[in-house]
Amino acid sequence: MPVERDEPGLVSLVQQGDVEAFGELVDRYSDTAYGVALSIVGKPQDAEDAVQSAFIRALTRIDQLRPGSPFGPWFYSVLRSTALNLRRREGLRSHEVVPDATSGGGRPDEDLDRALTRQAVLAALETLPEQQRTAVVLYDLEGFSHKEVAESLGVAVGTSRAHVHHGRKALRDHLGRAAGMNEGEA
Amino acid sequence: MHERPRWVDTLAPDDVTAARLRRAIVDAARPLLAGRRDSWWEVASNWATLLTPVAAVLTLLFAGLAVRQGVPSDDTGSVRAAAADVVEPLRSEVVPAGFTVEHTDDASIVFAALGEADPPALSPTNAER
Repeated sequence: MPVERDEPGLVSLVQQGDVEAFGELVDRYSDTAYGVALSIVGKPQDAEDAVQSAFIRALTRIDQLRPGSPFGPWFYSVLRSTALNLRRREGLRSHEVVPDATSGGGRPDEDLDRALTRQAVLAALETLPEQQRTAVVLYDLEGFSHKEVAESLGVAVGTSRAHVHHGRKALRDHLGRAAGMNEGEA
Repeated sequence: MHERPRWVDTLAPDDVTAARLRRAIVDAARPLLAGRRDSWWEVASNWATLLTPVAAVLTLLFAGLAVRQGVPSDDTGSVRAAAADVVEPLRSEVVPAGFTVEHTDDASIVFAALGEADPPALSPTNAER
């Protein structure tokens, strides 16, 4: 079993051009980054583009990261601005979320269920202000502390707490209403 | 670590997407990472390329100067003639009137020139003893 290397060490190796170390950072962050990007841009293909662009942007600027600083919060701030730029450029605000049930690799009915749930979650996230949405996703998906969320968003820790609290409540209400409507339709 | 709600799992990519994404990111990053590996050597070799002609010119210049200073010129005659014109006896080298060569051994003349009537008693020289 490979030994997990510490993050500042990985960053230092990446600064020297180590492909394996960069691959390890990608392994650690790409899945969550995809979720964060998806919550901002709304479309799976755009989320992939945003994540790829963010990693490349982070790589070109990795010398700006202070030695010993954690990669995660810094990377998510790069990802967030990349995804927001992409969203602005593509005019994605009024996008229609299309269920992506074709590439799951599981049973078709499971994939469709998952896609519909994702659609509902994305629709609920779409109702939140951007900072609130990213705070909730980083806190719940990445498992970041409020300090790390605050660092990623460039806000105070108290603001991060408020964003997560209000964002979660709004999501619960929205998803609860959506579930109630679905039950009513059935 | 706080409890992770179930809805966030729907945002994660499926395995196929995750693998494709990882491959795309690493492939796109390879040239940049290779550039980082090479950058040190490139900087060093660029400086070396720039400095080689400068170093060559300086070497030739100093070698030329060393040759000019180290090897005597064949035209020594003209150098001597020029030196004779330039060099003049210095004022300090002109002997004062009272200090002519034939009187320098007479101490009384020296003291007379200095305005002292009675010369101090001198200790006998080895010759007098």
